[in-house]
Amino acid sequence: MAKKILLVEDDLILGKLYQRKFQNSGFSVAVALDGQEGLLLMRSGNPDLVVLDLLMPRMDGFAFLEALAADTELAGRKTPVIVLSNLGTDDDIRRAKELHATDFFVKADTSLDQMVETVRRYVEKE
Amino acid sequence: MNTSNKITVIMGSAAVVAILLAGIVLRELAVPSEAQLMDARALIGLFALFAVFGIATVTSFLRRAIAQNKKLSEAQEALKKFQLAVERSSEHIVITDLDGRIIYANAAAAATTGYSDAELLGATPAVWGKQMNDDFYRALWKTIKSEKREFFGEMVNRRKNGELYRVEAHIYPLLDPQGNAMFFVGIERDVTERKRLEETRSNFISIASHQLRTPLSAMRWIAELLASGDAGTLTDQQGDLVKDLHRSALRLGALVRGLLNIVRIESAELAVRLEPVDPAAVCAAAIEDQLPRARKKGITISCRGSAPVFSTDPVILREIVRNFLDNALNYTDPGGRITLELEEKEGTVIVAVRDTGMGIPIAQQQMIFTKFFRADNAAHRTVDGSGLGLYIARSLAELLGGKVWFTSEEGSGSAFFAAFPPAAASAQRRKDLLASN
Repeated sequence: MAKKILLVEDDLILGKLYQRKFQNSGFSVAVALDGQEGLLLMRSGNPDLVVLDLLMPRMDGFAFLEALAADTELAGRKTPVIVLSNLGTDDDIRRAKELHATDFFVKADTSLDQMVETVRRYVEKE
Repeated sequence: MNTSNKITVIMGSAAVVAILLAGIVLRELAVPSEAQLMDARALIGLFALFAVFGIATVTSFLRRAIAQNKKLSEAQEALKKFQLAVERSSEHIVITDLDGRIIYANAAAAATTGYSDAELLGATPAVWGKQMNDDFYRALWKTIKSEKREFFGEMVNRRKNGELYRVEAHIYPLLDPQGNAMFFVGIERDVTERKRLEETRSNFISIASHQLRTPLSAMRWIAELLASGDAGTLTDQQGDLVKDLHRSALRLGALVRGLLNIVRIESAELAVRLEPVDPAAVCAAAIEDQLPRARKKGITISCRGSAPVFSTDPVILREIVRNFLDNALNYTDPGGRITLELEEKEGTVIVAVRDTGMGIPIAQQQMIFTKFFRADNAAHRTVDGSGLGLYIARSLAELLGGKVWFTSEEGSGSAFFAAFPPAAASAQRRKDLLASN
C-alpha cells in the first residue's frame, strides 16, 4: 500500500509542486494549509511521515511541533517530521530539532529528487 | 591641634608676654641705674629674641596655613571637576561598599533605575536587579569580591515602574595599596533600544530572505518537474530552455544564500557554538551534499587522510568545506577530480580541497578571496556560483579562529586550505578579530 505523506504548507504554489512530485513518486499525499489543519489531519489520517513548513498563519511550524509533542497519542506514534522551510538560520534549525523534528531542509537549497529520496529513507526506516 | 601649631601658639604667647613684661619693666624704671639699664637691656634683648622667633613662627604658620588652604581649594576644585564629570555622565554609575550598599549613585543611575537618590543610598543593586538566575549573581560576586577582578556582562534589570531593560555592565573593585577591596564601582549602559533594533533588523533579514526564497523554490521545482518529464515529455528545445531556467534559479538561490551569510557574518550575528567535532564526519556530509551535482558533471570527489576530533562549530565548518567544494566544482571540467584531504600538524587541523580544474593565473591570485571576484580565465564561464563562496569561506574560517590560503597553477588545478589551530590559540584569534571589528 502506498505510504501516506502529510504536507503542512501554506504556499499554494509550492504545495501543489511537491504534492505532484510525491504523488508521481508513488506516495499518497494530503495537504494542510497551516499547523492547526495539520493537527486535525494527523489525528484523522495517521500519515507515515509529515513534511512541515515553518512560517504559516494561524499556527506556525514550531507551534505545530510543540502541540504534537504535547499530545500523548500523537507523540506516541513517533511519526517522522521533516521540516522543509525557507527559514534557515542555525537558531531555526536548532529550535526545530529541540522540538523533535527529524530533519531540516531549506526549500531553496533542496531539489525535489532529494526530498523524495529523504522521505523514502525515513519512511522505510519504520 | 598638630605639633607645629602648638609650638607656634607657645612661641607666640611667649613673645607677647615678653613684650608686655618688657613694657612693664621699662615703665617702672624712672631713672634706671647703670646696672638696672644693663639688666633691662639684657631682658629686652631676650624678650626681643622671643618676639622675633614668635613672629617668624607666626609668619610661617600663616604662610603654611595659606598654602594648605590653597592646596585644599585646588584639590576641592579638582574633586568637584571629577564629581561633576561622574554626576553628569550619561552612564549609570554607582559606588558601593564591600557589602554592596550604595554610597553614591549618579543622576543617570537614578534616571535609569527610576529610583531617587534617597531610595538608592544605603540600598543594594538588588533593588533594580534580581532578574537573572542565582548562578549569574554568584559568579558576579565571585569575580569582583573573591577574585578582585573586573566583571563584564549583559544582564536584564527592572526599573521602579516594573519595566524590564537590558544593560551591558562593567563592575569592578577599587583596591587599596595592600590589594584589599575598598569599594565596588558599577557602570551600566542601557542597551535595550539597540538590542531591539538589532532584533528587528535580524528579523527583517530572516523574513526578507524567506520571502526571496519562496518564489525561487517554486521556479526551481517547476523547472525540475518539467525537466524530469513529470509534466509530460518535452521537445529537445523545450528541454534545453528548461535546463537553463533551472540553472538560473539555482544561481539565484546560491546568491541569496551567499548574501544572507555575508550579512550575518558582517553584523556579527553568527553565533559560534563550539563542541567536539570529527572533521571526517563533517567532510563526508559536505561531500554527500555535492555528490548529485558532481555526478551530473562527471567529476569524482574523494576523501583521504585523517585528523583528530577537535573543538569547533560543526555547522560553520561544514559551510566552509561546502564553499570550497562548490568552488572546485565550478571550475573543474567533466572528467576532473576533486580530493578532500584531512591532515593534522602540531595540533592544527587542516582541511584541503584539491581540484584538477582551470587554476588561477598568478596575476589574479591576490584577489581570489574578495567578493564577486572572478579571474579573467574564468570570466567567460557560466558558473552556477554566487561569486561569494570564497569570501564567505574565509570570513567563516576567521570566525572559528582559523585561516585560509590556496595554491594554484593555471591549467592544472588549485588547492584550497583551511587550518584551525588548537582551541586556546583559536579562542585568542577570535577575540582579536571581534575586537578589531
